[in-house]
Amino acid sequence: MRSKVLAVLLTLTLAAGTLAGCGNTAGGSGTGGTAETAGTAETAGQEASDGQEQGSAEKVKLQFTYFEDNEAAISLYETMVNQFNEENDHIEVEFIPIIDDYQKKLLVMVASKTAPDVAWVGEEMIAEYAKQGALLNLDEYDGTVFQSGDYIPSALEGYKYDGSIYALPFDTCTLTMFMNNSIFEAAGLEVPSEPLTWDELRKLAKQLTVVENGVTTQYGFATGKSFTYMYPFIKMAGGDVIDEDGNTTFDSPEVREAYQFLHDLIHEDGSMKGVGDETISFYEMYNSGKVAMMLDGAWSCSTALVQDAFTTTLAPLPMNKVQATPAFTGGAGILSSTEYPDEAAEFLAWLAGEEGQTIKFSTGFAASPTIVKLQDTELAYKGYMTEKSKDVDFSNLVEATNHAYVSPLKITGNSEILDVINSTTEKYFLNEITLDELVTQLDERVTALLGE
Amino acid sequence: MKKQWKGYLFIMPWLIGLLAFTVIPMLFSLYISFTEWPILKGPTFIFLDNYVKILKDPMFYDSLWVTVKYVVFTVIPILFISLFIAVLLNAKIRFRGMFRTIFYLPAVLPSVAVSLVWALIFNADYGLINNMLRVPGIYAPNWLGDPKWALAAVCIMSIWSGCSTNIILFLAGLQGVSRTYYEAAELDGANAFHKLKNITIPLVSPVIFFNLIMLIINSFQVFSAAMMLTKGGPADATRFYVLYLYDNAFSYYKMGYASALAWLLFLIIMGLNLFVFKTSGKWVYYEGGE
Repeated sequence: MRSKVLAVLLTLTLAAGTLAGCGNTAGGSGTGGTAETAGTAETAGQEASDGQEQGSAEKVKLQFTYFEDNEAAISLYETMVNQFNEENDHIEVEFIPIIDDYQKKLLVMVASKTAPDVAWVGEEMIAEYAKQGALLNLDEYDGTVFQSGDYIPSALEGYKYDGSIYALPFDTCTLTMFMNNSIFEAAGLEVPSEPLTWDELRKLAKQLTVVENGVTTQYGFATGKSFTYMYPFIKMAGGDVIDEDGNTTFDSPEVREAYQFLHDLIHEDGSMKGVGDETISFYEMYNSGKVAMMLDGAWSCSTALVQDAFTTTLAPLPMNKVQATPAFTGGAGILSSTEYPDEAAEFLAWLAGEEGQTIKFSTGFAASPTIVKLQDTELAYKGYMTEKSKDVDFSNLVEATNHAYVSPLKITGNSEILDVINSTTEKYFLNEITLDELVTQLDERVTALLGE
Repeated sequence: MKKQWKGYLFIMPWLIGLLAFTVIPMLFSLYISFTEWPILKGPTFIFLDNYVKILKDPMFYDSLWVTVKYVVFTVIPILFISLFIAVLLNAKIRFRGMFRTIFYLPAVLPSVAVSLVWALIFNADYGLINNMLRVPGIYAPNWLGDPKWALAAVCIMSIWSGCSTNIILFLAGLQGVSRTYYEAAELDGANAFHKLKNITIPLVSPVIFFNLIMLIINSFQVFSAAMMLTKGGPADATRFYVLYLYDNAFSYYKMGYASALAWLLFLIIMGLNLFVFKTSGKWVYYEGGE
């Protein structure tokens, strides 16, 4: 008899264990029963830990997720959050770094009702999160908790949706030209000090390309082929992909010129590597000294400027009609599911404000601040500087930040559109479709997706 | 019935696991496939709209076509190669145990690690394969960068890693074939080829059938290989069905659409396997059967 009771108890324990294990996962499924179970379990847990905390002080607890794969940056953020916690007597922030697949993880957290209070958000996420009401509209805190006028307009623009602010930017990066000094020297050429025109860039790239036995061992120019890098060329040519009325404008002389230019570099001159094997990326090729000139984000300073084999000069983007670069911005917003919007706004304003950014950029975070006031201080470029790159002139990076336009990721605001543009672009660079087919297909497919 | 409740009690953990992790999520995904669910807020019921949209979606057909090509060019080679290797491993050769272990190794390696190594092997400039091809002067393709070759590269990797489990299953099947058949055939003057064609293959046909079914199911769901090697590129040449499904669910905020894609895939695999089952009567022999 006793063994029977034991068996029943054991089985029930096992069963309970299985149920408890699935509670959190199934919680998001929306099936009333399981969600409720998970809910109560969670509240119970929270109450227990709250009880322990009450002894010291009654602090509001916030969670902050941050997207970063760089260990130094993670520990920097940890320091910043700790400092905020020390200075603040009524808020305690828990820092949660997420190193990979951030968007997917945040999405699952939101769906399973375990979303953080404050979260890192990219410009490409704003449209969807704001439209679905997942991010808190920050307009009501503007002027009280933070001042929108403190921010560089192009950086803040990336985090607006329908004219309202949904996140605050706390770092920004422009694109820049990286010139390998050793390659120029070996070729007996001067590193250009003025912005190049497209014709000059093409000529130089051809001169600096080295082919041995039919294999290109050194490329004159390199950049990415995704929309992140294509869009700046379209802007340089004086064009755009969506007009004021929201219609796509891929079939325009400017867009055609931009695509044709890079196509020529790849196929006519062979001075740029075509679409292909991405196991070794274009910036890794630059870092190994196999590329003379590279157009990439200023974030690459942290790897490109610390090479032993060569030194780098940073130069403004080449130009055709317009001289400007997009700004790629990092920032954070408040999830509308938070229980403590006011406290979350307080933390966000500190993190993205002058104090938070001052700590961040005095420690060597490879980006520029987004606060106008900090642009005139050494903090504007200190983040890029390392022991090895003390002599590099960063002035054009700071200069570029001031007249940058909003990131291409924000323009489309939708990963599906970006994927369609990128794969169609690849087909063009692989000569699978012509330029005419490219612009027609892009107009058709992007218009269809925008209409959804 | 009175005595059976104890049995149910003992399989409870498994039963609950099946319900919680398979049956309920499946039914839930069926419901979700009739809704528009952007995940960030709740689902709206739209009934068959997702399915109608899928049938008009060019990416659905493209990704399905790429997947079908992949299935054909991995399942058939895997069946042939693994049966061939299993026959060799069944023979009395030196170091047989060691060889059996080596051929099974790919099955115990994590697929992500395997893909990373293969990415280096396929590298156009420095990769092992191209370095070997260049020695006799054979054309060295840009495996992962050329849309004409990328699918082949993924297939080669999948064949390499897919053979191992099939070899073990074939080996087990081969060991079940009684020596007496071969002895009788030898007395009648049969050579090695005759024995393979008339004894071995018919007698392991149930294993071939089982492997074929499992391979079809698994190959249609190819995901991690392409995710690690090519990310679906270049120019969508390796954008498999499940890769597109995954993007819809987690990058495009279309969980309902993705669920509908999943159920269509289920129907496709189901239909194909029913077809294989129907034809199996003609080519699968069971010992002792008619």
